[in-house]
Amino acid sequence: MAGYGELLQTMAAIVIFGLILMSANRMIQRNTMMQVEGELEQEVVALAQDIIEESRTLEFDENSQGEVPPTKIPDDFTSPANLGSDKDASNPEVDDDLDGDGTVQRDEFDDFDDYHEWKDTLETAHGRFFLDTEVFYVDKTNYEKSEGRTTFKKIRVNITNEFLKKSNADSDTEYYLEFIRNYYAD
Amino acid sequence: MNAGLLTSFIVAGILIVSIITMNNSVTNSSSELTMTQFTRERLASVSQLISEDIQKMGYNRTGKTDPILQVANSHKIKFHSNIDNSTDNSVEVITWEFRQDLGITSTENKNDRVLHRIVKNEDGSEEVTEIKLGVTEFYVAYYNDYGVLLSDSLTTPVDAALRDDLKQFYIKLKVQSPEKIVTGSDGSGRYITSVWEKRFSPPNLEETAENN
Repeated sequence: MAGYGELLQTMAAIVIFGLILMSANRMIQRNTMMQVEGELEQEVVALAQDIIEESRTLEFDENSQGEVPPTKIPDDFTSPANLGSDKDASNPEVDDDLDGDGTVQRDEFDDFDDYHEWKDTLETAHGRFFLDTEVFYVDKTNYEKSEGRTTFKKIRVNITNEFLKKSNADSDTEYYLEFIRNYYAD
Repeated sequence: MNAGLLTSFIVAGILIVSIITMNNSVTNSSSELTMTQFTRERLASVSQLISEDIQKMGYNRTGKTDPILQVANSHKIKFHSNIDNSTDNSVEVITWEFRQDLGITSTENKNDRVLHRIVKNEDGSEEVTEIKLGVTEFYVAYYNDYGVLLSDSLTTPVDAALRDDLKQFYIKLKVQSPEKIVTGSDGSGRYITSVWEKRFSPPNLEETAENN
């Protein structure tokens, strides 16, 4: 058995080293994930902010686009149930589908709430980001969702990415960025 | 020498090589993380400075400056603002320029360039800040009232009609680490890169009627 004692000790050392190696690997993996997540989160903010700034440049409502403001404010604004892009081929003044392809694209939006229920996939240098936006009226006292028309609308941009996962789950982390717009502040 | 002892030597040798490899991996990962933090800190410092300047574009205590914008191209932007909020309403001319011809010699990275921030006071004196924080890209694009991209290179001086149209800016800033993170055994590696993008709507550009 001479020499086999050393072999056993070496084997034991391998086991100990294996445990250390697994721990080190976990650390390296966590570090890499942190770096990737940080960079992707910056992109999430940039994309959401880009959409919010773009939406700010449009009219507050489909019915406030004329030279004269609506007679009754906020009652003449679009009803909460009809927020979103407008498809009405019989009425070209309202119809947002300018190219007539059956869908209203981002560059055809002409008012703030056209972004409601808009879903898209944005290709960037950091990969694909999935976008889902929501626009709704908010109460001017607490800025919570309002069932009726008000002079405040909120856009909520929800962005996900296939590499941004919740820590202990396979589901994607959802990032929400919001902006409140006031008709009178335009 | 017996077989057991010989085997243990071989296994111990493999073990030592593995330990060295693991040590290298941990060291690389650590330096990459540190370098990432370092690059992001640098990026944050520059982006904060840009954000503060851009938001104050056209600002004066009693109204807006006239004109607001002087030069607007993809690597240079020059505008007027009472940046120090001086009570005598003196307006400074602020220039942000990415000098593509001016590399930073003190770093190993061949891509980084000097980003200039120049504040020209009314008395003609200039405060030049050379930002040598690893900026490898500084890009500006211009949008109109409807969020439509105008151009990334407007005529200089900026035409009055274009000036009225211009409402938003998109700025992209890319910063790289001064040194490579070595990833290969041959000494090859990559620079840590961090990118910041933002679309601005400076408040003083929102109403143009008073500007002209």
